Amino acid sequence: MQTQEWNLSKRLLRCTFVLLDGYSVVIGLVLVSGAMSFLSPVFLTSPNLLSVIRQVSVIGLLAIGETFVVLTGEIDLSVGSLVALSGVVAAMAQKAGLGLVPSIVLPLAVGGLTGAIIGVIVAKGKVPSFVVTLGVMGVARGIALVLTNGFPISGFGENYKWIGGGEVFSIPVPMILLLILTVVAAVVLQQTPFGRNLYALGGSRKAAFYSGINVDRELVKVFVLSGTFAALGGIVLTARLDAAETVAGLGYELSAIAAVVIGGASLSGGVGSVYGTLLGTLFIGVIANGLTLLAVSSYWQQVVQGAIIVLAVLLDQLRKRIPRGVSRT
Amino acid sequence: MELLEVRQVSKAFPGVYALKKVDFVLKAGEVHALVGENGAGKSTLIKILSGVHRADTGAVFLEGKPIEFNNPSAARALGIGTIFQDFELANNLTVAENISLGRLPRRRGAVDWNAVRARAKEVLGALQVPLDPMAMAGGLGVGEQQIVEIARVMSQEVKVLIMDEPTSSLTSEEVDRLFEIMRKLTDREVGIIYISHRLEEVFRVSDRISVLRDGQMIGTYVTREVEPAAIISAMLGGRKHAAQHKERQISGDVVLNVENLSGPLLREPISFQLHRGEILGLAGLLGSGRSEILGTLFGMGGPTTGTVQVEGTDVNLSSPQQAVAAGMALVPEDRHREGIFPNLSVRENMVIPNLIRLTRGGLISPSREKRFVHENIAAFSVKTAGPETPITNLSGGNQQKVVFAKWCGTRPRILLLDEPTRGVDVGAKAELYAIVNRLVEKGLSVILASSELKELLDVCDRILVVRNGQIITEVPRDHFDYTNITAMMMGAK
Repeated sequence: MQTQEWNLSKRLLRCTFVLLDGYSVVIGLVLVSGAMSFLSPVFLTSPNLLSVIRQVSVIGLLAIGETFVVLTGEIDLSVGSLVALSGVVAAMAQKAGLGLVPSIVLPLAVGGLTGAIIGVIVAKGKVPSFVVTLGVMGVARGIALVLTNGFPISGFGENYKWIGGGEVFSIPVPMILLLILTVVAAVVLQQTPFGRNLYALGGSRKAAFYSGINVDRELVKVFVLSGTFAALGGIVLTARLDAAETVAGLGYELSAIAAVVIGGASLSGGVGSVYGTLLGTLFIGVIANGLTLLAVSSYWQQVVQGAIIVLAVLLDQLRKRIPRGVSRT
Repeated sequence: MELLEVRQVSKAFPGVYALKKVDFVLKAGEVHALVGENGAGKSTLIKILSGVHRADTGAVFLEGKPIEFNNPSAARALGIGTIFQDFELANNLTVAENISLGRLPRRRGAVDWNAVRARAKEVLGALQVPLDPMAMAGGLGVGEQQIVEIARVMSQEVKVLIMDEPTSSLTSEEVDRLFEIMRKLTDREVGIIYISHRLEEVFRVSDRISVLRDGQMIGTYVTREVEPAAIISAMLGGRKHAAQHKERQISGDVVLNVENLSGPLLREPISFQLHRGEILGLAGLLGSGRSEILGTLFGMGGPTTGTVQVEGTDVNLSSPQQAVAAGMALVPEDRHREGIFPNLSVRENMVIPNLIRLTRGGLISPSREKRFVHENIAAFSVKTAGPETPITNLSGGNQQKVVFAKWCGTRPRILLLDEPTRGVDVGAKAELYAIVNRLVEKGLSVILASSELKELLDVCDRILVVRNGQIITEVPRDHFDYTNITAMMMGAK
């Protein structure tokens, strides 16, 4: 009898997991939002929701790039520091009076180039991306410090500030950027050979090599993308704050990776989607906002975020134990 | 009382074959072979017996007592040891440590290394194999690794030993040694369940043979009272028998001309020619260098020197991309790690090398992709619930058909096949070779490397014998002779 009951409860647990598979972010988001709207009268007001989106949009941009990296089974820890470096580069361009276009193109180039260097070291030098990007994390923020001597730079042109603070039909520009780029990234992942190759080499790098996929080249591309998205995040952040600071983006790599993992991607590669990542980003934003509204100290927010990453990966592992077949990840 | 009895066991998976009310009896001291096509249920049955899967209904009895477990260590604790086909040793540890892995003996809290070595010596001695317990497992050949795995299982009290395709990567000497070891075990009243696709070996080593087909137990036969033909017909149940050579006219056109090709994978420079519509066999022992020749032709080793011409034009084969562009396609030896993408569906696996061709304006056209996949599932008669089924749900033979299909979409001129039927059953083997024959009739040329000479003799138009990294001789079809070629492979001639 006991074993039968045990079987039944196990089976129920199994069903729940299968049902949750792929929807767990949505359910989590709905539950947390529901709870928050009860706990705080401010939560469901449009100014508050817009501020949530403004706050997460930078993380969201980083997380798009990170999704590409994680799909290949690699990781990029340098994105937070690249936010600071690219922000400083953009600010210097503004201060030098170079105008809007160079203030965007230069930091993007810096981000892309850094990504290319990371990618080449990972692909050709066979150094684990964890190590390379951990090193670059220090180097990038260090260069930002060297360039500014640690002083913030502020006072930018109106058109530049519009990127971070502007609105179109009362929708914040960063949000529009995030949505458009999410859709573009999704199309790239699903409908281009490059995107499909990433899923393939994330699943089995050996089989990818044997299938004639240029694994090294795809890896470099992925890190270039991640660096470029990080730089875009840096541009948006400095534009919104009207200031470039060397401490900008501190710890953002953790949030970006959390968003990707909560969004259903597997850290071992081959599984994940950028829509999932967008939802993961919103989830993180809602949690952070909720904790702020409930007057929880920002120190605790870090604790919560760290714990959420571990939980998300744990959930992913539990999900993998269920025999496949019914559902698709 | 029987040693092990399986009574009316059933098991179902979503979208795959199942076991249907299977009965099976293993006696102490016998080698009981379990045969059947891929997908017949052999793997499922042994996974239930070894605690990897749980039966849906039915019961298993060990020495008359019903047993129930749902993890491999529980099965092992009861005395059921399994040597899986894809076992893995810890390559960075010694033989002795591998044998005691997971239950290292301790003394005062620290590992007792003397006891570890003593245990290894004892069990290797009992198997009478001259293996150094202090050797690194990673430095051993596959056959030796297998012996270490057997020693590992044997170092615990084992009543039932399950061996899944234990000879698939062994040389014939290693097979002989393995069979000797099995005999020693049965003398000690161990019951052995032996799963193999190689009927010849089954008849050599087993006492009884049970045949599974489509998840059902067809029958159990006493080995010396039954003919191989009867077993094959029980396995196939009316399906047609393995492919035979088709007489055909090979044109004189040289499709591939290799002169003094050398590269990082090759020990010696090689030269040979391949004609249009020809199936060229590479015969050689494990480690003779046949896989390396195929690998070099597919650009796996990096930069090469020497001349390679495809249909008269010089080509460079320094990367797989260049090889694909030159019209090469490779079905690799290790399907699990090199052939398939385990995280993807049948559709996604099939389109990978064909993506560029399926795009319109830079984007993959869903309708073209769908058409491509449907056509190829039909053309290669892949048995799958649908295009979106995860590839890992398919049987080995059907996974291999997907690997074939994915390459044939790239319209290659030369198909390189490295052990394409390894771990694949008789029926699927016949289907795969029927596919190869069809492709050849369309003008494709094939280089086929295999450790099963019988298969090469059945299928090839010409055979190159490879030994110590060199092509030592060329045998035309009218000189095909099993003993003769084997002797050349082994260096006896």
